[in-house]
Amino acid sequence: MKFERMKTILLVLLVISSIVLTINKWFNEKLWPEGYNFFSDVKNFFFSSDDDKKEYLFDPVEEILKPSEIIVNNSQNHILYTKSSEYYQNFFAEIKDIIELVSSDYTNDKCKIEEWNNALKGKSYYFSYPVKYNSDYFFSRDKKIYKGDIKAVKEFAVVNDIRIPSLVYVYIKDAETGDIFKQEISYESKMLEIISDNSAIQSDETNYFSFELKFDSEKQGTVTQPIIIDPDVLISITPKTLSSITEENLFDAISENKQIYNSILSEFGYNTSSIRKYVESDNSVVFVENYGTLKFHSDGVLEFKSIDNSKGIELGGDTAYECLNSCISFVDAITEHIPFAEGMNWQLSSDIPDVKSKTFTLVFDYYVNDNMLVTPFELYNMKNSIIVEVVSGKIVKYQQLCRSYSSINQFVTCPSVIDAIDAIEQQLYLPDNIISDIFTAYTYDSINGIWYPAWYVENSHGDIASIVL
Amino acid sequence: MKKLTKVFTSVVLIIVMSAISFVSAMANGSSLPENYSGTVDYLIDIRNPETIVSTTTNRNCVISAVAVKGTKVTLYAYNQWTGAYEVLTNAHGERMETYVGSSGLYVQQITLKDGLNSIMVVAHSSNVTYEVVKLEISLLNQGYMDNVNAKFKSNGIGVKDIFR
Amino acid sequence: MNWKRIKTFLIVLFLIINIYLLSTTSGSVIFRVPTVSKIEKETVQKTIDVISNNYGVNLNKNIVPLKFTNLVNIDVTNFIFTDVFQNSGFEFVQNSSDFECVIKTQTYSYTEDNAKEEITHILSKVGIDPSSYKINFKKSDHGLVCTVSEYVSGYPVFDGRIYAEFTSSTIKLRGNWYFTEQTEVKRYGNSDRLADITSVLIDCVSSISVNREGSYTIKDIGYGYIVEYYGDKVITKSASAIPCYMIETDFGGRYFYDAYNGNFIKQEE
Repeated sequence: MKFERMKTILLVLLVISSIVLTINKWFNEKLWPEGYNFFSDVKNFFFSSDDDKKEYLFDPVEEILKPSEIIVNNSQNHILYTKSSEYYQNFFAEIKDIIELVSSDYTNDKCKIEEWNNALKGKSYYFSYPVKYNSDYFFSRDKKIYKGDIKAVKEFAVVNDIRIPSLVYVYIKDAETGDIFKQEISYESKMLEIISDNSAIQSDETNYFSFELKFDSEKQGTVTQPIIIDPDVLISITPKTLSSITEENLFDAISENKQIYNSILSEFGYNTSSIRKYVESDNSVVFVENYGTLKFHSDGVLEFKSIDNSKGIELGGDTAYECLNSCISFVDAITEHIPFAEGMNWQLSSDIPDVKSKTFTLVFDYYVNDNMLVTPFELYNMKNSIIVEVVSGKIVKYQQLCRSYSSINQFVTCPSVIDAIDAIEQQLYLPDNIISDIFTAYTYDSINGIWYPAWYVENSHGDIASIVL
Repeated sequence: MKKLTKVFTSVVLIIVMSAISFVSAMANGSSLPENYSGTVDYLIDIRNPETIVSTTTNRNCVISAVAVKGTKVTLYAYNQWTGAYEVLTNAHGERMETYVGSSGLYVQQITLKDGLNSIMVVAHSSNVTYEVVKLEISLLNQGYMDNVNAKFKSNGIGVKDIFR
Repeated sequence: MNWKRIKTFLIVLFLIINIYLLSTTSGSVIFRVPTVSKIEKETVQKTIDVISNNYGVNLNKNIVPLKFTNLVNIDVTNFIFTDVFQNSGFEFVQNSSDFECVIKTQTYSYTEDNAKEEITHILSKVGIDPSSYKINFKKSDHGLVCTVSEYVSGYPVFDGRIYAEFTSSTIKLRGNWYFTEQTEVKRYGNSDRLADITSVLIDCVSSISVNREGSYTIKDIGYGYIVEYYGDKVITKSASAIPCYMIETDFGGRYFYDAYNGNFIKQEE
């Protein structure tokens, strides 16, 4: 009898062991083709982490197409909202609807600049993007549906008809030609309703558009105007207080950090079992495969170079725009593996032109508190924090600065825009005395190892420079 | 005789004191007479408001100008009770007085009273060289505007169409 | 219903299932067989004939191995970059990609025996374990010399070589060495096949013939590791040693080929 009992116990143990091993095998190994793994889904359903959820909600291309500034104009004031502001998401939801309506039922009607100015002075909301987008891309991402006359978009405004609340006028400034297109759409804008009530949206800032101050062109008068400021530049006449930023080199001791480099290696399609790894005397790590080199510099730069332009990381997508979107998703995939601090964002810093071929270069920069960090070129030999070169649909060069930035409890007050402009060395930075944009951004102080907020001015050639006070 | 001397001395003292305070008030510039005018006309160009006489519905009005570098610009508002222009102060009680920098640009936001606001902009490049610009800005209050709006709405005309 | 027999049957069944699952999950250590690449004897003979007839090269079929265990890349650290290079008590200096060292000793005259003892002692002091090398002595014009050749798990690391010259009261060392922590060098499970040694031999012989006339003999064929640097070939702190074939001729040249893709790596005199 004892023997039988032992057999029963043994049988039970073997059964349990089989079940455990089977479950382990199913969950960990790829039994099904990519994309379909029933048991993995079940596991995620019960034990999903925030990272998994983020994958389903976060669309990197949609992020790229978000305006960097939303300005609410309510006749009393102009209030600036950026991505981390409370109302931003609500406005953005409406933008998507409006853009869809405009692109499908487009018009080529133009209007005078005065109407645009009046819209900005009255009750409206105004969107400004960090870069110029070709209209095909702006209106339909990659579908080439838009057939109107607008060539490129960087800003537009939305205004109610005061007689008919469900009628909305969309004014789009063509970023190439400067023409203002006016389109009427049927839309109930909740955000415009909110603006109508003056008390609903309050702010400590005082902002004016340059055209309201009449600083946008020389006028007949006794005094020569030394500096002209483009009409839609928002001028803050109150000082701004922003926190300083500290940084952390995420590739410090990278040669020991298998988790980061293995995950990034697999994104680049490297076969981790046959790869060649080299650690240089400065502790940078280089991985070499037949077609390219991936280097993790010890100062935080991630660099991939293919051996020539015919080899590289293949990007998906049939059309040029789909390839572009695929490139943006690739950047997102790499960035996901790097332990950046919460509150960091990245955004396009190069215009999206009429992309005809799958050969292009995209550059991005990091943002903290919705202010850009200006990459110190002298330290990394990079003008922007993320640079991707694509030739014939393949990534042939990829550079990304992997340093993490977070706010610290140290604040800097940036004076009003006029005080800042007074300090510009005009001859040096403004060749034709025109300011195309003025904004706050972070600049690196290599002596203290801290980033400080400062006013930056952009000239008519697109170059930016910080104003040292 | 002694009493007469005393009275005479007191009167002279009072006159001198008033004169001094008047002069110092003048030199201090905290109030200027209604007929105050400048000595030159090349120091400052007011950009906003665009016209000497203007109307607005916005209680906050921005005065913007282009001025010669180094000019000291001070704002005054006419006080009908004193019959003089009093210097405007900001929320902290400081005079609205700024030196124009190398950008040549000047901006100052002021808060209007209901009705007519007579604003005087004084631009000094020295004690004797200064330009004066007087502005008349009328604030139509919101209640009034709502009435107008309502009236015109029923006729199908927007307020914007009137105040273009 | 004979419950006992059913139970026995079920135990055997589940035992088989368990064994199967254990052996096929990756990371399992039971029943793993390292992958091996083989060549046929006929192929070897044909190759020998080809190189003899077309290039005049002699090759004894006995020195050609017929079976090669697939090896993985291993991470190695260059001795020059280790702490012990500076702190051994001996004066090691770097000379481009090699190191040199001159050691003054008490021994006036060297024989193979005492030389071996001393060199073993010196190598232990710098952390080089006797199990990781083989020593070969040779008499030369300079006196007694030996070559210390590195091995990892029984496979030669062709770049790990130290030449030692023994003269009166002095030992001169020159060469390079690699340390590794990896002891598991074999590949298991599904793996790429190695390039055939026979095609590599033909490649090698035909490229030698471009610059060299006359017949010669292939002295040795080896299979082990080599460190191939990338880019501008500057030596790095640590590198990957990759499996390679080594072909040695009687005129002194050693030719190294990547064992997986058959590409030429480098040549040594």
